[in-house]
Amino acid sequence: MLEVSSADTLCRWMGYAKAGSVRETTLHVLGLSVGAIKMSPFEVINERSTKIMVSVECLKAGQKACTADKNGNIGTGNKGNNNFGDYNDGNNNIGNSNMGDLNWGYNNKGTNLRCNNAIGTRKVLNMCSLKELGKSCSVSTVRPFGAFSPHQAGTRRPAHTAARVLCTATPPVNRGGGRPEPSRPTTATSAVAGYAKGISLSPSLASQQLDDEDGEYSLNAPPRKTKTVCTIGPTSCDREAFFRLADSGMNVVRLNMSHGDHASHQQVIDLVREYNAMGRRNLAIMLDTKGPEVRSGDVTQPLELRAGETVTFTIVAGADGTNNRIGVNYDGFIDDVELGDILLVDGGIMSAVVRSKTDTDVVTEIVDGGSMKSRRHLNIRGKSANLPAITDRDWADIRFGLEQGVDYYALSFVRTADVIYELKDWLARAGATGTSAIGVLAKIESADSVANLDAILDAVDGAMVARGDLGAELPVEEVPYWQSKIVRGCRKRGKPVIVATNMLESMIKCPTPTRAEVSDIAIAVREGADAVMLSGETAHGSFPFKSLDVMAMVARRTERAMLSYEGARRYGSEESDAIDWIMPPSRSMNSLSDVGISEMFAYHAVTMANTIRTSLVVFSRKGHMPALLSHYRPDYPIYCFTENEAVQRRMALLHGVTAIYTRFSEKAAVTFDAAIEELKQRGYVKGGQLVAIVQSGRQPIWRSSSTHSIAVRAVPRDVVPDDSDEEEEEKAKAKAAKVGRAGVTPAILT
Amino acid sequence: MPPHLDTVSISLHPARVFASSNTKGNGRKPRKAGSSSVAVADVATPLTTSRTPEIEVDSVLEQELSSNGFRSTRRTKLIATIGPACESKEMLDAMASNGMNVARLNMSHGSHAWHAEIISHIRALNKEKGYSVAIMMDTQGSEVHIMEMAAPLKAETGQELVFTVRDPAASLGDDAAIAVSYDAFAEDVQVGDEIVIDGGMVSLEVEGKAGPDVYCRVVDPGLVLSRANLTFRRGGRPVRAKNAMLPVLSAKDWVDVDFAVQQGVDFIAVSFVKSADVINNLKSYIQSRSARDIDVIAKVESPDSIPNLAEIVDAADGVMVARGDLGAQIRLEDVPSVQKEVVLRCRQAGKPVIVASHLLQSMHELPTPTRAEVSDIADVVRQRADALMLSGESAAGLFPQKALEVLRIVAARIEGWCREEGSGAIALPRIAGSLDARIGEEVCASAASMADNLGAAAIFVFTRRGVNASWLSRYRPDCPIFAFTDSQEVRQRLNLRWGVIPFLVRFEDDPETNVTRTFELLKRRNLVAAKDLVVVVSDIQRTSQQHRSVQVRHVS
Repeated sequence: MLEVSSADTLCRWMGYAKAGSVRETTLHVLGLSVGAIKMSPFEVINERSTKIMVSVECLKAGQKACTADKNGNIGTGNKGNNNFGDYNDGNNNIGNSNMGDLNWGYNNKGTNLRCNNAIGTRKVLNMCSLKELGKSCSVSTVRPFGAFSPHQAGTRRPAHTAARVLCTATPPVNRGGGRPEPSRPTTATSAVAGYAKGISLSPSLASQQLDDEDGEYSLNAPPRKTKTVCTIGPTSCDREAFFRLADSGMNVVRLNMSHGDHASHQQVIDLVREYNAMGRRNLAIMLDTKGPEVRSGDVTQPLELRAGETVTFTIVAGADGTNNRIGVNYDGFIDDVELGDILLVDGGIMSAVVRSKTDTDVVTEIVDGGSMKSRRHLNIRGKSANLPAITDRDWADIRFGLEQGVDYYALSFVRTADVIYELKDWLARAGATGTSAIGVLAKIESADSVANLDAILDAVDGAMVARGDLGAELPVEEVPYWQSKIVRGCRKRGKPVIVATNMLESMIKCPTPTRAEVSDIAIAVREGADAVMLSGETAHGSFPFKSLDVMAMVARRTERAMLSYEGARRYGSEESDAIDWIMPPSRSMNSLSDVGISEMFAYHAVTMANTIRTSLVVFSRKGHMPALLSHYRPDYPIYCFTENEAVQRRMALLHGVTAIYTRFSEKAAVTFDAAIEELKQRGYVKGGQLVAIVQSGRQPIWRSSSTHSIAVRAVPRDVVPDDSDEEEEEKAKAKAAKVGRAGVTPAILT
Repeated sequence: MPPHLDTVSISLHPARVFASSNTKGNGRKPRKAGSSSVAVADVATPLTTSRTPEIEVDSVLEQELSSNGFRSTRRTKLIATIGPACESKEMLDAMASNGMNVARLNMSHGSHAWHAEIISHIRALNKEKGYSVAIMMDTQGSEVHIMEMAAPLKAETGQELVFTVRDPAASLGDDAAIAVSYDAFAEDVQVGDEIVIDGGMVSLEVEGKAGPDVYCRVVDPGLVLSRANLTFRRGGRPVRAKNAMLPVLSAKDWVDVDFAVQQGVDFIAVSFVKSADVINNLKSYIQSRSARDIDVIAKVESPDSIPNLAEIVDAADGVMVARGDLGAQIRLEDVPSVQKEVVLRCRQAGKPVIVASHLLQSMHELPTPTRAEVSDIADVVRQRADALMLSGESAAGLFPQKALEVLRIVAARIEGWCREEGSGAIALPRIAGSLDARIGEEVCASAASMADNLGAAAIFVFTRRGVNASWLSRYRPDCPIFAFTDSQEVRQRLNLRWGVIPFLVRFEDDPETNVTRTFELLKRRNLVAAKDLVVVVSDIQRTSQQHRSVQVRHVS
């Protein structure tokens, strides 16, 4: 038996390392027996030809191949007989955590279900809605390859088994000129094994979700629209953990340049490329600069400081904690500090009041004691350090980001708008403009930045409410106020905004959040932030997946509650202003390329989509139109098809936008059909459902420059016969309505 | 100088009386410092005078008022749970002067003797220093939970833990045995059940049972804390077997209720309320046993209470959203919306509503709150709940005073923001039944809207039972509500109400005298100044005939 260290190496070894290649092979060609692989639930790749894609994960080096136990189960925690997978409660299941018999997939409840269900792992990979659980639902006729038949479990798997193996590998990264168009699957294929194991709070909590899919939106509940940003660190940078996070709903990958080196960040970027190349979901990369921080120097051993003790901070080199003398890395510290100032360590964990100062030393008296370790973060309450906004180190990181093709920079300790313009100019000179531009987000975290808030927000492409330092430089009770101001400021301008820091702090150590944290996420969602962020929770916490799960779940529930109670939020709510024009439409709009036209279309398209409760579909080259649609916060998702991968990735941060890569065909109609088919394949839309398609934006793709349009189209119904009763019924209904393949229903054409 | 100056006696902080005697006769005092503003007090009167003091002002509020002016006083009330971290009289004094409006006694911990001592301390402080700190007794309830543990237990994946219904003292001699409060636990659970501690903090699978002991294996690692909530699930659903039939008020709770009645507390909070029945039952029991009014607060923390919210709010005198246990029993992510709904219902019904648990969890160990916690408190304040409550943070945390301070400062800051933006307004239906009550409702509604429109400095309300003050609080006016009452009990109960600053005064027969005299008394303490615009609501009887009035007056 062949032992390989990972599926990745296997693929490379087999010579499949071409970018994004999809290959099929049979196992015996690989020299593998089924016992050597672990099968994960399959995906239907092409329902008409009834092929299935079985994904395999090779065993890690040293692991033993599994054989069926005495009950015929292969896997762990199975309670019935002849199951293939883990934690199945019934018999003859393929997959994990099925309750019932003859299920193929994850978390199915009932018998003979043939889908991967969203519950528990919250990954909607297929077309089952929550309501359909418990019934027999089937996406298409799927026939397993003989050897995988559950009935044969119980014997060692035959050695020569045919299965299709999907291999993916890192595409070459090459931002600057002459970039080859990567070959990549344009259909939704999901074939990464083993990452998708259920990580809900607990299975039972997840199952309760069935109880009260509330009210009028119950049959067609929109998926989560608020995005999640996850900081990648030691607990999440290996391939398995990273993919699991990505599969669990991470949208933006944050690289924190305060930690790690370029090599380690490079690895994460490679993982993002690899993941994106699979076409499952779409991740953006955000590079977060370290910024000019004031830090204390090294101490030989942690100082245990009590209230009332005297500590001297000095800019003279060589202080190592002896006699309570601690170094500071910033010479201007002495000039910034005044008598009576409050000095905060790590955002307030410890604090001290300044009693006296000399040319080199600041003598302080401890107010809140604690353990003073090396290189702690220092703030003076109410003051911002007089440091260059982008340090030399930051410039090196920014260059690294440009070479690697990151999608967003989050600039730390922005104090004025000038620095934003400086960075943007630099980027423009470096060629990162147009569709390959890199978004510049300002982190609002200093006392100065809130004073210049409007100017900064005018300059940036988006902002982050970095509450950690904000709450240290300003009194902590000011943070909710400024959070609201910043979120509103960004939304008014149609720019993305992220709420960050301390969102699930307690989950760094504990598997459950405090109620305050749950409520905090709900507030950020109700304020209408584009994204909420996890920092230490995913970077070095003990429960990275649970944290992401809680965050995604709370966001989704809160969005649902907003639908039920507040209807279309265009009219605002307690936490958010009414949505207004970014640029009020001019009465004298002369040209159809006027930007006001696009916004007007966005506004009306959202109204239409909300009215008929459906998703929006938009085709975009530059990402302009999806951003406008997102500004109006439709109730249902915006599916943005784009030819440009950089644009696709950037869309990952925008509220409610799911960007899908596609090649635009010569003809609009063909592209539309393909797009709708694609959405259907992915389970985003159902047969018979209506979708609103918007064609606008400043540069026409297919339409002649003099037209803009919104169209409502029906998604073609499934035509594959099936043995289940519901399917028959539906078919009968469809026949009765004489809808075989609904044509274009024009709604508004201009 | 008013002629009756010599009869004035004001209950004061001794130090302040001392300070004031030095400044006596300085003419017009600056309006700022509380310490210099009481010069005209009759310092010769003993503090524990047998006469009813003319006016009793909370020195904390007095200080807040005179340093910040009317508008910026805090409206949201603060409840602190008393425990080992703050049990001394000095600490209680510090808590009260730091903003504690209500002291909560958790009957899950401590003996009756201990609680009686705390109550006597608070009483003494109220008397000595003019505080109006109310006392809330919180019943233990009989929901399934883990019994007291000496230290938190770290549960690692795969570890075996034993839950037992034995008396822990007579247990297996095994360190890993955890006592469970519910006697039928070993009968109810089945092998294969999932046991969830604190709503997901730790989950375990039942592997076997042996007599009173249940053997489990840890599936999800975490910390098992003392008295943590415990639920068990079968096939993914919570088991509501015999445990659904547990009494809301257990035998121990009734003993505690008797103790509370005997001690004369102001509020009794009932844990794990499921329906209105138990509230009504308890209220009639209190009525028959107690010489004084005790308000019954229903704690919303059981999933069974959610469908019955309307009747519970209707029956109870107030409601507490106990988010800790609630989040363990329903889906965590639903807690914010349940909280929102309870606050809304209570505000509409004019009942005080308390948001409790996990407000400042991180301050158990750290002197600074996480940003999420600040944001959460801000949200509660924006919803305009009546009160915020500290649990473990004040009872057993390292920084009880700091935690209280954070609540106080965040509340005051966010209230200012709410007024600036006019947020948190809700539609208030007419709820009064009888004509008499409707008159009260209308009078207070008009007074509140008048005060807002005129930008009044304060609303003065003269109230014997606290009814009008409660009506006014329901409208959440922009200015503080000065409630004057002649009963210390009413004063303490009003201390839970949003925006109400309760004063104790002696009522005269003539309402006009009452008004002018309170002006005079407050003016002397520099709490109001001449020409301040106030709205006065009064229905204190002049002999037999009752006039209800709203007046707009300048302080004369």
